[in-house]
Amino acid sequence: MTPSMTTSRRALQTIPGQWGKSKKVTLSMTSSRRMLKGLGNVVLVLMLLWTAIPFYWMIATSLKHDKEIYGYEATLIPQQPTLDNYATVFRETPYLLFMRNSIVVAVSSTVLSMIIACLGAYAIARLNFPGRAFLARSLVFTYLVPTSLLFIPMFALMSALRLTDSLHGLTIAYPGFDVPFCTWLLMGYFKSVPVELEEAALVDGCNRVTALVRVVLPLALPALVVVTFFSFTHAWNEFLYAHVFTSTNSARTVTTGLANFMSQDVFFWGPLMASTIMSALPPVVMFLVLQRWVVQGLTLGGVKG
Amino acid sequence: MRRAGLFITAVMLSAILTSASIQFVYILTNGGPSDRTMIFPVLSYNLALGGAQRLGMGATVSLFFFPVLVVFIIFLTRRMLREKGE
Repeated sequence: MTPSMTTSRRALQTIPGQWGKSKKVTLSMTSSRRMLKGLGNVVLVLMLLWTAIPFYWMIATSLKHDKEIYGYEATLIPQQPTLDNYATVFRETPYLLFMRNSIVVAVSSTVLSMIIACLGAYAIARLNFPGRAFLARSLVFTYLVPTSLLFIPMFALMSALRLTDSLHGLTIAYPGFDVPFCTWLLMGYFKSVPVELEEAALVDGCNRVTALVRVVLPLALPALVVVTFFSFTHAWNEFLYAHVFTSTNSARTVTTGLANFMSQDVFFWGPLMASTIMSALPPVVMFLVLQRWVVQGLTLGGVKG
Repeated sequence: MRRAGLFITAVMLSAILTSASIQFVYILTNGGPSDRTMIFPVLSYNLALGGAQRLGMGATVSLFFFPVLVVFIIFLTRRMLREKGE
């Protein structure tokens, strides 16, 4: 950003000497600004390609025959598109089981984190109790400690509780990192809801809980959607815990099930790509449905009254 | 000024999350060839759960890595709380 800014400013300084007339200066200013914008667009296109090409390659590979995937020449477009790979995934792997496990874990851990996060955020935002500031602080702190430092103690804990290799274990583990973030986000949002509305509800005979459920939560709907989406995708994408805590197919989620394809000696790329695409679909669909509220929620959550 | 603050927050957040992200290295190279791409989280995973099952050693590796991160984390916690007006 800054280097290009300085060059354009330098261009502005030299140009009056060359042309002398102020009209030309404004003209050249717009043209240099246009150049800057063009440069920005080029960078954007490059970044778009950087992001999009792997996806394209994934889709293309999933539609190719084995012969073409392992052939001597790499082809950009599948020569004879086929859905064989998708059929192989369903025929030869317990893909639907992985999918079911993922859905169960993602949905139940999302519900669990939402309940805890709503109550917690409301308490920190509205109630006055000793240790409130400390709680807010420790929320951020917990959110920032990465899971890759925690998985060994967590594994020891889960083994002691006999929760390894079960969906319960994962469902209990995931809110551990969803709750801090969700609470943090909701806290800021709850604060932006006018207290007067709640006071009115309290006067009209609500208690704290009904005020939260009937007044605050409907007003905070955009933030709730963002938070739901966050914890769902997080649980859906999570790899480390799912890998460490499970050892049989009965509890494997999509992410680890796929990784297990890789750890065998033979990589079968076609089915792997096919299953990857299918597992990317649920969050995408969810995002498309919730998108409207997500964008609104992100902007609204940032505004403070 | 405010924008600079946001940049610092974003960079620090990303630094913490990236330095500890395990799955890309684990799946792509697993630290190889001959530990050239080894990072702390993968090392601790391999010690703790890969083959030898030395949980203690794995946990120790994590703990060695923690002081480096904790500096970032404390600093960033303060920043985020200040931005939120806590």
